[in-house]
Amino acid sequence: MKGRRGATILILFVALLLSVLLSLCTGAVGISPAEVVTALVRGGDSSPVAGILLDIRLPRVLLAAITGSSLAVSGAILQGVFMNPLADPYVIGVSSGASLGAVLAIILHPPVAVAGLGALPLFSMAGAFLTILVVQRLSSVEGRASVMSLLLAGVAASAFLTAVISAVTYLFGNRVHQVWLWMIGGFSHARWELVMMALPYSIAGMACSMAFARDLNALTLGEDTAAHLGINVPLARNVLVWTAALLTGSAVSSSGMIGFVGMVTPHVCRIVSPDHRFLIPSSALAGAVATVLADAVCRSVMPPQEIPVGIITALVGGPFFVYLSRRAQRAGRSGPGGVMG
Amino acid sequence: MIRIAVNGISCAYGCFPALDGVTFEIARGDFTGIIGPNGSGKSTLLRAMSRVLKPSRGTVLLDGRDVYAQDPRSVARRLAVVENDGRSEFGFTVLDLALMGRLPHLGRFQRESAADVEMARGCLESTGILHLEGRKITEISAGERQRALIARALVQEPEILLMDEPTSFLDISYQIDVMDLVSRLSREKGLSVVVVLHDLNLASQYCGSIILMKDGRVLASGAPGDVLNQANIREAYGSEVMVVRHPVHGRPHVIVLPKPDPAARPRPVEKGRIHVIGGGAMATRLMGMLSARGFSLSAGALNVGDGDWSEARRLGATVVEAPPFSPVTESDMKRNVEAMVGSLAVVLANIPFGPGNLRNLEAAAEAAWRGIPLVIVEGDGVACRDYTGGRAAASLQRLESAQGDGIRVIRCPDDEAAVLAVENLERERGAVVSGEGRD
Repeated sequence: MKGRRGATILILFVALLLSVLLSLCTGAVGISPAEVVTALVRGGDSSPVAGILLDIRLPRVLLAAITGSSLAVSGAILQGVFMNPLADPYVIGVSSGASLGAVLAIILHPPVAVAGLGALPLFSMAGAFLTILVVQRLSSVEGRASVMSLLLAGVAASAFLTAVISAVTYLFGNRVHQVWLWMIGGFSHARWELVMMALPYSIAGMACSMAFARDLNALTLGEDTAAHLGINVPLARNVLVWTAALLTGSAVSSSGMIGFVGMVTPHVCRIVSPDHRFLIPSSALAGAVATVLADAVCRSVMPPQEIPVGIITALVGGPFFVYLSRRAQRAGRSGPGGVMG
Repeated sequence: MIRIAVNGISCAYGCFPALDGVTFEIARGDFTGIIGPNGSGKSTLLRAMSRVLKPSRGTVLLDGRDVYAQDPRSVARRLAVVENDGRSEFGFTVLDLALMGRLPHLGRFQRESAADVEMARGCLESTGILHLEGRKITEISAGERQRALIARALVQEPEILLMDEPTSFLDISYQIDVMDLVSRLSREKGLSVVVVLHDLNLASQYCGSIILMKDGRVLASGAPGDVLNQANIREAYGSEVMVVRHPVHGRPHVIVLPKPDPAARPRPVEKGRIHVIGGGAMATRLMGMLSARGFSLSAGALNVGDGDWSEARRLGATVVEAPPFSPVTESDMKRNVEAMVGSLAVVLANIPFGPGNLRNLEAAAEAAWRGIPLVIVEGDGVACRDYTGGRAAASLQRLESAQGDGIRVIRCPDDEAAVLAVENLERERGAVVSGEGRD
């Protein structure tokens, strides 16, 4: 059992290296793997290939990897906390909150910068945090929130926020194009500054979620059970939900709305083991692989034009998700551990 | 040594009160059952005791200190809970689940040691599911999951174990296994057990004391013999029961009686009265059948406290009573004959006859001489249940040889046939009555 987990992590790590290499090779200008390795090892000489690689493709690939892993870990956390293997940042409205923040930043263009951070990520994360606060407040009665009421509040908040985004975009028609470009999502604008901006959030989020991985295991059995096992439930739950908001906010602000990565990757990794000490790192790796590959595909389908990466993830993830949930339903109906069990 | 003291706690869900001023104490090694009808607050009580639902009034003291003021990990090292419903969407293995019981003993970044794993496997073995250790909890049966939850609680190495309906999904063999296991731990290691049970007889068999709850309050508490009686159970559940001594362990054994069928209650035609001779709860079923068919009943002579005595009274029968555990006297017999006269028939249930109740048979014979038909439920034959040295059988024989001339003896193989025979007598009477009306 432990061996299988280790092997899975190793395989995913190798897959990430390979997909990064593949992604670095693909694009409008074809670069051979040997050239890539040479350029990476030697660093920035003045050759044009090395320039494309180090200044354009490498930050892009890294941003894709960071975004993918952030979304996947966020999804893994939310699925565990809400005891629902189909939950994700979209379902509870966090993504919409982050989007509204980002859209407001684009439209209002406020001259805000804190500790070298631009307005976009700050607004985006604030949007994610505020949404979580409101959703938790709306769904809890006397300090306790049932999973069902949380999901319902999330769906309601999501619908409301989407309407606000539309209204804001409509009212400020002069900036519609920029909003639209951002909302499609993608990594074409990736620069080293953006990578460096997203990286700390990603590292902090993963560290936090790993520290609370065992609490998350207990929470999947229900809040009462977690409390009976000595978990400080309000603390664990708050840390985990805020961590998910942080990861989602940073991912959305740097890359727009990229769907299904957060929902599908933890779902797949859970086939090996639902233990979050394994699930969080493996989802991070798998989410990175999926997003890096999706970005490579969207650059190579009809060069030099690009397809928005969110379209690729939705086209692949959507049907896959339907397949997974139908399989789960069938298992639930016929298996002894199902609802009737 | 008092481990848990529950001091006048009240809890509410919203404005709906679930517990109202509950007080009791649990000492080391106590085995306490909590019983009561659905919605009486049993599970809420467990939640309040396990640091999950803070009472709005009163306190729960664990080892003398308010449990809500203590660190949850330290509480979980002493107190474990077996929840009733262990369903999960997440496919942890049975061993994973059992190992979660080590959580309160491990630091945040400390891994489970080989010793922890061995211990978890030992607990799986003692609950009989070690062979399932690699299976996912989403893929095993509810009964197996229940045993996995018990194993997880034992892995916590608790000193106090709270269990919410731990046997609800188990077959009778595993019910006994699980109760024997915790009962042994309670005896040998001083584990204090508090268990919510629906099965009153399981509670009676295993618990040293029982708390009977109703509407969020403690209705009665104490030894099973003090709590499990007709009056308490009627008040708590609204059910009619018989409480007998269990033939093996001697504790109270509760037999639930069928609720009177409301459809059978209205009696369109007032039928005749049937006098039943029973005893030792042997005529309970027969009286129920007769009553359901609209006959009114009388019975006797019955010792006060006998199973048939309480059933007859429940059915509204006129009962000729004899003192508890004493033979039927001459005067009882006289009153019995008086009760038989005027009845449609006397039914002699499938009961053994001894010196104590031979006078009941003699009373039936006396009534038969006076023209009251006697219906005998044969069962295995009267001779087989004659412990009077043949006097009972001889008396019946004499009666039968004098048949005709207004004396009727009808032998029936079983209760059903006896009811049919009585129905026939009722029809005959009806024909006579309506015939008389026409004259």
